[in-house]
Amino acid sequence: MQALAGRHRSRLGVFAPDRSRSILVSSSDGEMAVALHERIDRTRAVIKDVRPDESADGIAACLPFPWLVINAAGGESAALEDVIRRQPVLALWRAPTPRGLPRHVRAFTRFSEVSAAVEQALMQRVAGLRLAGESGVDLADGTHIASAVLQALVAQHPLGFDLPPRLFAGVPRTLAAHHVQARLVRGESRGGSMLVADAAAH
Amino acid sequence: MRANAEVLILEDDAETLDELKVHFSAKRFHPLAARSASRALSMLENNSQSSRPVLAVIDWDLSKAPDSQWSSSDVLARLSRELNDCLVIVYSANIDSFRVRSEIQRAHPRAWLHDKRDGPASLISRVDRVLDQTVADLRVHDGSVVIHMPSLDEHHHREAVRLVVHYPDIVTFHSDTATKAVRRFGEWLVRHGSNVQLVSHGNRKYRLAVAGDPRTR
Repeated sequence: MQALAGRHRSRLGVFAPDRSRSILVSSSDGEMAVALHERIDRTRAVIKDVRPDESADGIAACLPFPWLVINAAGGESAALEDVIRRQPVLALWRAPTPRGLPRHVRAFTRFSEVSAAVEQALMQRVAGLRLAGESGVDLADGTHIASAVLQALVAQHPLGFDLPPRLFAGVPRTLAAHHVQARLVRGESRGGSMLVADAAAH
Repeated sequence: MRANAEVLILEDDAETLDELKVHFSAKRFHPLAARSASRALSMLENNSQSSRPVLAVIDWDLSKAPDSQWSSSDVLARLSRELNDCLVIVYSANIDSFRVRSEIQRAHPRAWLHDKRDGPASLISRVDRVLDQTVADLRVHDGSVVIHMPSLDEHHHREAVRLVVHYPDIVTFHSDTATKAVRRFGEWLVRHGSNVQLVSHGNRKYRLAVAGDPRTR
């Protein structure tokens, strides 16, 4: 019976590989994901509603990695913690957060905090960069850059990611190639590696 | 070249199914109508090489279906995995229930939800709103033809309709025939001096772009 349930679960669309900007919501009842569906423009992000024991499968379906993860169930989650330590993934975690999470993880207690954070991240702009329709970022001149790392940095602005700098190694080259007036800096007080518009950096 | 857009209709009530079939046929769609999930899956399987529905209208509750081997969740999951450029509307009398909404959105994270209690007329009106899109000087009429409004010239091809109803998203086309049709549509736009442009993203991925629209690049 369990095997049958497992086979059925693996067929669900939420586990289909998808390259769109994805918000992975891990919860025991699905209510947070359902409520977010009502708030978020579906052309801007796809919401993946998973149960805590399905988080690893859900993460694997978000290519190359989730844009944002929400631990609505709270507590520890090995799969979510693993991905937010390995990749620049925005993260919202029901308080109280477990010890030792990267500093860029934001704690929440109410749904309104989650929806406001997601909406703000989707609208974030820095030095003419903004999130494109379904994935990547657009430059002010309309050029599209299909970079999940840059997409994460723009959405996280003005904060950064508490992650090893090597994960952002390609960003300065991309910014230079497109003459973007921004640079990658390491600011410990604001969370780690972050994008800063040139004018603001001086 | 004409190619009528297909619509998958899964509805277990024979009378409602007939009503929907008549509606979509009148709008020049080719309806793929099924009363059970098994039949719908078999239609998708049989049509996988030749066509891909532009739209799927799915009844969530299939208690009157002639067989229950598969469920509407299975059909939605199949659409999500293999036909993710098909617009999907799911209707249920229990659409207010968090559990039902969660189950639908887990089966197909991009499905649109509709309340069955509002009746078939409301569903048809919702479908029309989804399909009859206007993008700059282009308009989809009856979900099956793209009209260049300044000239009133018509372009009849389901792949053109698919691009317009998905604006501003990227659409992946799955056959040489489809990509040829898309390129012909792009040439048609240029010939008509449309302010909508066809943009290729490689690997059979295309989108429409309108100068000045911040949603397009």
